Amino acid sequence: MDYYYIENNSQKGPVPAQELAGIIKPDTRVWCPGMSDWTVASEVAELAVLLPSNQMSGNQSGFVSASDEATKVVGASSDSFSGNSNYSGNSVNNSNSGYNGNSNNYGAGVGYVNGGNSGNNAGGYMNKPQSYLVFSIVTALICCNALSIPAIVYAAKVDLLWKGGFYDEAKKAADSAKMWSWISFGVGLIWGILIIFASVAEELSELK
Amino acid sequence: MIKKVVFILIAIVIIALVVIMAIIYHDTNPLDSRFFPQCMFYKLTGWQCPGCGGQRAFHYLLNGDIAESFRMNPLLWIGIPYILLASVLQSPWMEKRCVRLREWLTGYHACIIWLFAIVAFWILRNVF
Repeated sequence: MDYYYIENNSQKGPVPAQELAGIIKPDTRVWCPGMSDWTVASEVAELAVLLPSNQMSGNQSGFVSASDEATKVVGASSDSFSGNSNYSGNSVNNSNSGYNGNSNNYGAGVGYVNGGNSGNNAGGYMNKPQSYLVFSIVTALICCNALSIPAIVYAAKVDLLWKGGFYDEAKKAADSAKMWSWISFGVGLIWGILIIFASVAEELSELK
Repeated sequence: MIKKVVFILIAIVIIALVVIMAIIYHDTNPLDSRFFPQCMFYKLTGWQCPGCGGQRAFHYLLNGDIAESFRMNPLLWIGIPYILLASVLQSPWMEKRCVRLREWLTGYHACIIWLFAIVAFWILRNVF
């Protein structure tokens, strides 16, 4: 089977499984046709056998950099969410579970749900939430109101939070972006319908 | 599979709407008819919004007057290609392709660029 894999934040491959030995680490994301989503190599049976048996030291250093990055984001935008300290705690949980490292920053947009706070999805994968940027641009350009502006702001936060490892917060920002886009769309649509009715009524009254 | 069907259905609806609108907007200049919806922001404040001129721009484009169309709303000439490209990249068929381009087009920097572009255009077009 030929695999794609993520290295230095970019997608490589396809490469036959045997050739991945030495390239991939246990936490390298891989994908091949037939898989529903990107998966860490250690969870793919065909690739797990190719992995070096002693890998914890590599993971550990990966974790440190991820945690540093998360801390930076907390520092940069600490006003936008509460309970920051919980999240650094979560990162530690992630490291204990074995895979982690730079899980926040690779191209395909798949990440881990934080073990502690996520509830239903604990330990599973979560796709990067849609930022709804395209939809909010559409509504900004056709709906003639300022309600798309918060949608774009939330769309920006989705990416920022996701890259910092705040998956649940990113999901909430994505929901807010979606909501504001739809509000803008709804207001624009209602206005459009009302004003067409108004002009028809005006036309009819002039005909009388 | 369901994603693809939904995407195709939405695309069909949007294309059908655009074709119907193209027929209407080709023959009539929105300025000459009272039945074209006017911008809410313009009606309420007297200032133009970032989308103002879009209907006229569409009319002039359909009649081959590119310069006049651009003059009516330059932002749409950036926005429409962006929306088309990003929509294609976000389609279910492109999931594993052009990952980096898609991530950039819908990522943080793109959001900030759009935010500034829209706000700046909104202010500048009412100042000058």
